Amino acid sequence: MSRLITSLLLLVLLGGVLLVPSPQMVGMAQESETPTTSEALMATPLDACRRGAFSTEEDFMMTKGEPFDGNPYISDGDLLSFTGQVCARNASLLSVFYVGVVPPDLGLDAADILDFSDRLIAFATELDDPAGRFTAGDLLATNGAIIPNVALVKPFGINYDVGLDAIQFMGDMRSIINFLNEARTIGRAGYIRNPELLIGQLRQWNIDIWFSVEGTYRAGERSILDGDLLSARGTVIATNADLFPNSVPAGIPNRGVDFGLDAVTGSRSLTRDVKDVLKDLRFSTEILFNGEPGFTDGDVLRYQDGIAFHNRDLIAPFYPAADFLGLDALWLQVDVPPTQSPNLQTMCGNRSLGDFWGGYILPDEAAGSGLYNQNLAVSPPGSPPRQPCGEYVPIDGFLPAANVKRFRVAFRPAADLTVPAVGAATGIRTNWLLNIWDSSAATCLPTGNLNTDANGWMNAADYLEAKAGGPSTGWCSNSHLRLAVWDSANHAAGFGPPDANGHYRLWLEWEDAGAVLHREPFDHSIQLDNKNPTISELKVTLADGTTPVPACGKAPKGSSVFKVYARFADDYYWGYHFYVRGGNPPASLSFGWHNYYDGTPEVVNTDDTGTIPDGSTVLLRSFDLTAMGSSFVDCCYVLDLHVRDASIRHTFNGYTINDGTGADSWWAYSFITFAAAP
Amino acid sequence: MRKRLMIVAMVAVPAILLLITNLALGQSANTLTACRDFAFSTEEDFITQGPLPPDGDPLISDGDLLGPNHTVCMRNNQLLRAFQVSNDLGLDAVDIVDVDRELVAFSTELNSPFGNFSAGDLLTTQGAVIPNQALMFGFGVRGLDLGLDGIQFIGNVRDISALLDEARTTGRARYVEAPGIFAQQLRQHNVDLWFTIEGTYQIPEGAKILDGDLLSARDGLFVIRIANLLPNSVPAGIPQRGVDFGLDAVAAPRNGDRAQIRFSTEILYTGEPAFNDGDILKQGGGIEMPARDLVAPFEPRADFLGTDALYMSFGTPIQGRPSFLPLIYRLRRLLGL
Repeated sequence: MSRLITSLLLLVLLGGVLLVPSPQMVGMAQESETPTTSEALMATPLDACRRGAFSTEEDFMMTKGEPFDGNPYISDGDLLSFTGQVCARNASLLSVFYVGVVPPDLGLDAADILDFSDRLIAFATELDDPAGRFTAGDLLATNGAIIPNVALVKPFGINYDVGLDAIQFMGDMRSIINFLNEARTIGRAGYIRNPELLIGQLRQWNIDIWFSVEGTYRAGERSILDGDLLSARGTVIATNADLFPNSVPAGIPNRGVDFGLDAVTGSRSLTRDVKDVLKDLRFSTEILFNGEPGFTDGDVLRYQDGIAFHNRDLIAPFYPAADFLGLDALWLQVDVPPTQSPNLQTMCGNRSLGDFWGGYILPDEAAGSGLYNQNLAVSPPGSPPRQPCGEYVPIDGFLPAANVKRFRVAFRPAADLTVPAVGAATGIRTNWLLNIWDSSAATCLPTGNLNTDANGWMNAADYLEAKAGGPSTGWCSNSHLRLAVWDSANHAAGFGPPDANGHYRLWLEWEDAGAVLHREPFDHSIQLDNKNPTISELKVTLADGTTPVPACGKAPKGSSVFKVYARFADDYYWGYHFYVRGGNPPASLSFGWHNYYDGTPEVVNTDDTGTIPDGSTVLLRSFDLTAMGSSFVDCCYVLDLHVRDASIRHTFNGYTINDGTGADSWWAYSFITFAAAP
Repeated sequence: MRKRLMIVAMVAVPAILLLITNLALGQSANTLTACRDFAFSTEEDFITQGPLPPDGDPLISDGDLLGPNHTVCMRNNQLLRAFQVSNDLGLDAVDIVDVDRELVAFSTELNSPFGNFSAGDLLTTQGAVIPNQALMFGFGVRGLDLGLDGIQFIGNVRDISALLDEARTTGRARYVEAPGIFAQQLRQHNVDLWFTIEGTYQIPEGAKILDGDLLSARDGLFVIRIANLLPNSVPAGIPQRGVDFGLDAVAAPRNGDRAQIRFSTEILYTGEPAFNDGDILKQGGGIEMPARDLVAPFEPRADFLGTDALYMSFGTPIQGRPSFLPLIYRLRRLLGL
């Protein structure tokens, strides 16, 4: 009897042991009852990904440095920044689904960061949830929402899970957040029961989800490739062929190959034309291409326009032992920050920060060049050439909507990656002339003043009232005000930077009504240039290019064709131009501007720093005096050479800000005289 | 001389007869014969610019089983016929066990639309489903599906066939219920399954399993780790050398000779020796076959399409095959048929 009892007890114990779930099993059994952002995710340095984020295809070790948690092991499921930081471990992303247990690493196949403050990230995994609550094809969010794959692909007539490889939410952020909150409430089961529900919600919230799938779907003539960019509303936004220039054999059946679409990111705008929005698209493929333009399956590509970032540059800040690790998920800050957020928007006049290399960088991120390229934000590297900024630099943006006591634009050297405490750096000082009501003249006259203090702080109430007009200005408005105008050339002592040709980073700081200091999340890189070009030599020769016509010298009679040689330089050279004047009646010939990037024969001996080889006197171009017609007679002639740089320069008198970029005030000038006769 | 002519005639006549028969029947009899020595799948779909496949469709799916000389040995839906799945689910791993029985072990890229298998399960053309959990049981993994990226059965073909027959009878549900029985069956049949997974797994208080490691389902051990598959100059292996290159496809002789393992990685390497993620590599270093040569017979518009699944026979005699067939096969290959 006792043996029987002992045996039964053993059986019960054994059964108990077998039935005690392992930690993983506990995780599987849990339902995501707590839909709030997990503490684990709140503790991660997600802000490091404000500029952009990605995941790799494979795990690796950092060989130098370490991420926030001190573990140099980087998983292909972690969300990584462009600055060598792990913004979120895979476990943190999944934590809302694994309350109380450590989640398994399920990889990270797609990501879209939606809200930094609330840590709202949409993503997809590489592996299915062990408990079957979601698959690797489902769209997940860190608020606990699960949108099953079948709901995404239902509008295409697909009724099974074809995987999920890339995602991008489209539309207004508030609506996207509301939608995801609603999706969490509906739950996966709700969408499985009624997959059509999703498309109704997307219409209701006026948003969309762009995505790509893992597999290929064919039904009769219709085919969906894993390289196509799809809309969850049931349209193909861009076929695989559309994504590439014609030289890439992308697309089936016509060009012949499906290159896949492994990651995608871009503007969220649903108000712009889709063609325009696609120009902002960045993506990566599943397979490499050896032709022209060649790319790997880890490079970030531009829509129809080659490589935006090489994979090696993405991963370099992590110091991996290999220079390629693939790319599985990608998110970029493509749209400029929303206007309701306090931040700088423009520098050097009304030039968007998005068009500067390093226009939006994290405070501890390398600064880029700080140079402006027209349309950089749309199509890096932008329309040539690059431009620094000089003289007076107008800087503008958005202040907090309310509760701001004072503000300033602060700066420090671009190479300084140590982030100073708010209020500790130097501020830009600006003295304004204000329109004030003059009762005797019965008009607004620029007779008032509004100045920052010695640390660049501007009283916000005074500024806002002056700008809009109020009692202090006699209701005269001052719409010319900017957040700051930087006297970069140090015309007024103490108003400019230490180095008038230096590279700096700027940011907006403000103090709220509670005396708490704040700063915007980004720095903005700017390269200054207040140095004019130098012309070291100018000479004219006969048509043979070797016989000089010295200054005041006379060319042999009958010589009409001459060649111009010169040596000039500038750190940010742009172009040259010359006149030949003289004859009787007086006439002139004009040649140029010949800008170094324009591809014409007249610029072959110049580059972005002037004549080449550097320090050499080289042929610029020839000219023919017979082009003067009857004015070409035996006479003296003068050749005026002008050389200008690329710097964007504004003038500022405390009231008027004028863009004088390219004005002759900053040209280098040289001339030579000679005599010639037909 | 006369004797030699007699031998040639003895070989050539049946060969020609067989050729004629095959031509007359098209390739409907058993297209898998073209993959007797070698087979693979690509990572992406493409249109062949070469000769049309027997079914007349120039579209080659990343789920199709391809052979040398622009052969489509099995379309994805042929592989999945036993499961009555008509959708293309991709092809992530393959081992051709018995050509004559058309017995192929494989895994897909996507889960079954009917929920009867996952992309991490091992399937056979005869309808067996061995769930991922059963493969990983020996490593202490419970309840997780870590994916399946490469497979290679080790052992006698007859024994492997018998194992897979038994697996079909066992059924997926039974394996899910008792995942440990698969390892027992492997031992009973004196075979092993080498495989690689898609994810990584930290064995509690043990090693970390990388998706670049080759694993034994029978023994729950590493067959070879990614660090040992690649030469020392490649920074492969975590944590020592620093990078997991992944193992996307694998093939080895059935006798388990590790020195002859052939494989492809998940990511390329630009150092020395450089390789890309579609090249077939030799264990310890060197490229057995560049990716471009794999697909060249199909004359695709791009010379790289990746390699997702790989099978090689390593010259191992396949049982039940008449001895003159290899010669006929080579003759057919010479003639480009």
